[in-house]
Amino acid sequence: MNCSGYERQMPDYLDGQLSRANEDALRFHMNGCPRCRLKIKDMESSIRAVKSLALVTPQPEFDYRLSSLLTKEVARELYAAPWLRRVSEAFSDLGELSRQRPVQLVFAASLVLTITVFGGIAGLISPSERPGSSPGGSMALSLPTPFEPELAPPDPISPDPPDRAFARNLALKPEPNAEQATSFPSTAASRLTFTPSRNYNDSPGVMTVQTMEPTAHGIQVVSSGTGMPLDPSLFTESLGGDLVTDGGTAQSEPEERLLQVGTAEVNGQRSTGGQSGPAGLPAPIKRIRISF
Amino acid sequence: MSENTSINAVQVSDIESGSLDELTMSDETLFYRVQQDDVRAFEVIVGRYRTRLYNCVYRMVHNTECAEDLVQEAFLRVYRNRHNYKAISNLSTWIYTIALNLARSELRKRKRRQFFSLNASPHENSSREGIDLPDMNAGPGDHLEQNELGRAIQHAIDQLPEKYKSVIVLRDIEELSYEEIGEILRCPTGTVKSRVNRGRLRLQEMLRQWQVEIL
Repeated sequence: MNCSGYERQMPDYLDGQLSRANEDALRFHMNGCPRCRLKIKDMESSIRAVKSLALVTPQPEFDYRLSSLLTKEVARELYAAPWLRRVSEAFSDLGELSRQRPVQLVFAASLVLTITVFGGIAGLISPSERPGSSPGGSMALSLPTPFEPELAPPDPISPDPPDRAFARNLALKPEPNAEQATSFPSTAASRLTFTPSRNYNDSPGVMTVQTMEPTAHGIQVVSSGTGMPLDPSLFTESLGGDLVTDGGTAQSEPEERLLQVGTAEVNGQRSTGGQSGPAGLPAPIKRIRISF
Repeated sequence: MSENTSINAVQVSDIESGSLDELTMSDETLFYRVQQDDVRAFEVIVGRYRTRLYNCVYRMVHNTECAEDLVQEAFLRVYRNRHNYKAISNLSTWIYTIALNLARSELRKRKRRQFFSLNASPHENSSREGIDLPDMNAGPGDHLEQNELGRAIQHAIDQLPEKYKSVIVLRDIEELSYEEIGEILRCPTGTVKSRVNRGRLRLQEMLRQWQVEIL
């Protein structure tokens, strides 16, 4: 056997996987071949070097973002099931087309539209009979578009941006004074009520989320304002990623995360609260989105 | 702990249905459950693979944010394509394939970008400086290696061509078998072995050039 033949055996030799006879042959060859001897030596140092590298682990926020992402994916599938899946499967027979996002988005959009219409009808029929329904909000399901309340960060320059007026209309319970952040009791923290009222009085589809349970993954919506039976897994929203921004609280408990949402959302006037943190941190929480 | 105070209905029902034995199940059995839409089983899978996958992808792309994004995308794809997994192969091989393909296409994307950009990339400095130790200060997306040595080694891995980098990471960091690597990279075991040889030699050559001594 020549050098390249022996070289092919080197990986197994370095693993100690070579048969006795082959190992002896390779050793015998290396005795007389300085190049192969050097190669083995180099390979050994390379292995040692690479193995000396420490194990790197993802940041703590990684798990939040990942679970948020997966929850959305699960919810998306659940939401699409079962008839939508059948339609989708029928489409997938046509080819790879249906696996692509646009088609799924079209389905999702049409579904959202349907629910909006139905929600509107339901809201018109019996707006007062709803238990726990707040005067402003009119519907249980929160729809990402077009009624999603988006709060831009308070602009210090303009005197009274529209967002701020809207933010004042958001009622947060049971903690009216959102500044008392640190003493939020853990049981009370599990309940938040958002009641967007301005401009939404007569529109259906406004978010009224009433009971939210902080879980290890973030906030979980357990029931809706209307008492409509909802699949909890359908409405799980994690607060990972952009929501966990205040300096030093990256690893905070779920309660604290929840609280941050409260303070940032409700306190429209709090212009510098989140932004005064150390430089390089992302801007404070901008919005709550229960998306699926 | 807040975990105790906020146990909700979902978690309790999980314990009642005996999901605790999921922790001792084999990957493939667990994944069978995932294919039956058991989300909890998928969480266990993610728990088992998240660090390994992240470590592997990070060593490939050498950027924390990028690695996190890619691993997230990989898990998402694993979940979306769960019905495409056939039990004839190892689950780990399949998951690694997905993650590694993402990492490789990211590297390819970067290479293209580098090719078209007029500014020299920071990595190219090293070749110009010759035998001097290249600038290995931790960048923004860099994990703080515990020492100079770690940074030098990671930098050497960065310099390797993609095909050698993959096999070195999979073999010497992830410690997968040659057969598994062959399956992941879709090439024969012999090819994997010769790439491992060449990758190791190149790596050591660089370290020697920079006079990095590994005891």
